Amino acid sequence: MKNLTSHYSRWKALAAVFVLLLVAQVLILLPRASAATLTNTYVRLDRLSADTATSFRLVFKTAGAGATSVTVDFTAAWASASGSVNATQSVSSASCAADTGATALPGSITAAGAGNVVTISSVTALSATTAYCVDLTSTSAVTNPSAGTYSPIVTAGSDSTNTTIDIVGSNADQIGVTASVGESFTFSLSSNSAALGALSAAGPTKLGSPISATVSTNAAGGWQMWAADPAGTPGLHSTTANHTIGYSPAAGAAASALSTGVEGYNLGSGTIGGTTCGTPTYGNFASGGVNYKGSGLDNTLRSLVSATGAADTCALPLTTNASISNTTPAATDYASTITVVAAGLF
Amino acid sequence: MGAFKTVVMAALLVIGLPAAALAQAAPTEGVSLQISPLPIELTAQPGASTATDLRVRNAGSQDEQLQVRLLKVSADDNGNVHLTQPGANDELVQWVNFSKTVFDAPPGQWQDITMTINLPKTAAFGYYFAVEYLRANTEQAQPGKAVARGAVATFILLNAQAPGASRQAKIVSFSADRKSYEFLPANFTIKIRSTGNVHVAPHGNIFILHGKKQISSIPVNAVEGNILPGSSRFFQASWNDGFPVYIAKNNNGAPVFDKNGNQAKTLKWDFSKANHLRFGHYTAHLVMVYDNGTRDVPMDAFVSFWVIPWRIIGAALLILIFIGIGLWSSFRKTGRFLKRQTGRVKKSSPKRDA
Repeated sequence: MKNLTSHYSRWKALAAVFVLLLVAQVLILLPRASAATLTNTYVRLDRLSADTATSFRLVFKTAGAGATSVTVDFTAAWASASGSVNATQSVSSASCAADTGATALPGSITAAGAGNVVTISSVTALSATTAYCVDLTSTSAVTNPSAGTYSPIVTAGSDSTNTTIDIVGSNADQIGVTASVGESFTFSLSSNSAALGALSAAGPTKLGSPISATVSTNAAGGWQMWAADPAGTPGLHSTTANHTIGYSPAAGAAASALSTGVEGYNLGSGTIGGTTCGTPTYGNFASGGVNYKGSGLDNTLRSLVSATGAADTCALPLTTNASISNTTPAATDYASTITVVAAGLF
Repeated sequence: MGAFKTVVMAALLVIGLPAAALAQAAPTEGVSLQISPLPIELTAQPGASTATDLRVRNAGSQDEQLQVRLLKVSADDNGNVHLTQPGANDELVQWVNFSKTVFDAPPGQWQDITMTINLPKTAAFGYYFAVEYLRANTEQAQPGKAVARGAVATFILLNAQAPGASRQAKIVSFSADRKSYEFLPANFTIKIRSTGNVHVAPHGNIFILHGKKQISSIPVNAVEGNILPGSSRFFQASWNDGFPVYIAKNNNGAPVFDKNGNQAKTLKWDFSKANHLRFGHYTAHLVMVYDNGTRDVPMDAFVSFWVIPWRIIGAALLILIFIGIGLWSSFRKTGRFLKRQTGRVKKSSPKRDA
């Protein structure tokens, strides 16, 4: 007891206890090099159909830091069910980050397949507890096995986890969509009447603004437009004056312009215009931009224009022109009616 | 007397109701109608009935009351299609019935009409008509105005299958719009006549040959447009696979026209197609077929033309001439120089010898 309580012995005992405590502290505080589990991990095949080659996306969240390679082991079960891993792989992390919210796998990454395993190399050391993503972009990165559930193992450095993939029957991963577009034909007139105003022997008069006859059709066979005057006595007729300003030139004749002081009435067509109009063939009514030029109508539907191919908002401007002589009876009720018919051709 | 008045008033009211309904005022805006499908091809046995659905949509913004009626369709040898009103005794009018002939058409809504054709036993071969859709209350003449009535029509091609049906066609003409071109396009017109008693739809290709080598192929009537019996139809085709090539001139999407009213053209220099510079004698070989009911019947025709890009040839010749003149001038100068040098050597040689 005397020895133990001696000054020297006390120091030795205290030193031994201190050393033991220090060793225990070091053993407790130093990190241990043991494997952890990756979290939030999935392998998303771009096709889930059995026996189908596909690319895939890998997303995982690290546990520890420092991994410089990542592997996906599709396991022997995959291979035994006719699945395979392509030896040649292409890899990119350029576009996955925007889709997944994970960090693009960093580094000048490369990938290769061997056996059941795809290995991604040249990864810049990964950070701990960070989600990463990468795409194996080859459309034949892997070939799916027969339908069933498989559990590939994803490993980053020393951390790993199992994921689950359900492979479905052949082409059961896609929805077939079919549609048809029937042929249709739309025709419209911009107005159903237009005033010629007061006619004068000093010169011919034309409609202030033409009536547009507009066609839209997806009928590839083309389309045609006709016009007729259904009146018993075609022309510009006044009931009160019992007088008709007849067509000039007559129906069926080539277009010509009305003359000052000479009674006459005609229908002129301009040039078709619109988003799509095809190649037009004009009837006798084409004015060619000449004022008061047109042709006559009668009860027979006469061709205004025909065109090949489809049409998109293709408009034909129609103008009526009238001219009177010094002896044309005065009246305020001169009027005419023109029928315009359009159809998609056969 | 009072009772008599009441009866008369009631009778007038009853008689007047349909008239009032029909007298619904026509809309003030121009008509706007959409129809589908088109055209409609039907086949039926004589003595049988056939039916088809017709659809029309009021594409305007006002309520419409529409009517359907028949038009006869014919075509002539110049490719014109004629629509005419059938006569009261026209047999076709007796065969065709519509599920409704006058109906309301609210804006934007499709209206379905079933058309039934009861073919008599004597019917045979092709019958061609159109179903016309127009306002039930047509616009009346208005003092001081030109009134425009709009209508739209669906063509019906009916084949009454009877013994003796004949689908036949022949190429009447095949021509190019010029005998020689500086630059493409070369435009072809094909006139085909239907010589049978049922419509036909010939289609095919124009094969462009340079010598014996085929260098291009252009489809003709790829959409299989029909030709009615006893009429002709013109088909257009264009060979524009060249460098440079004329294209239609547009200004902000609107076509530009020359002083004659023809669409103006401009040369397009697409240097990625520089190897498509056309030069020489070409032959266009038209090959078309039509189904005569049992097999495809071929028809063919040829037309030849030249493509001589004289401006490009002229420019190339001019460059060659300049190069030639340059070379000739250089050789001449070099020759003179050498001659002078040779002369000096000759003059100086005797002195050295001396």
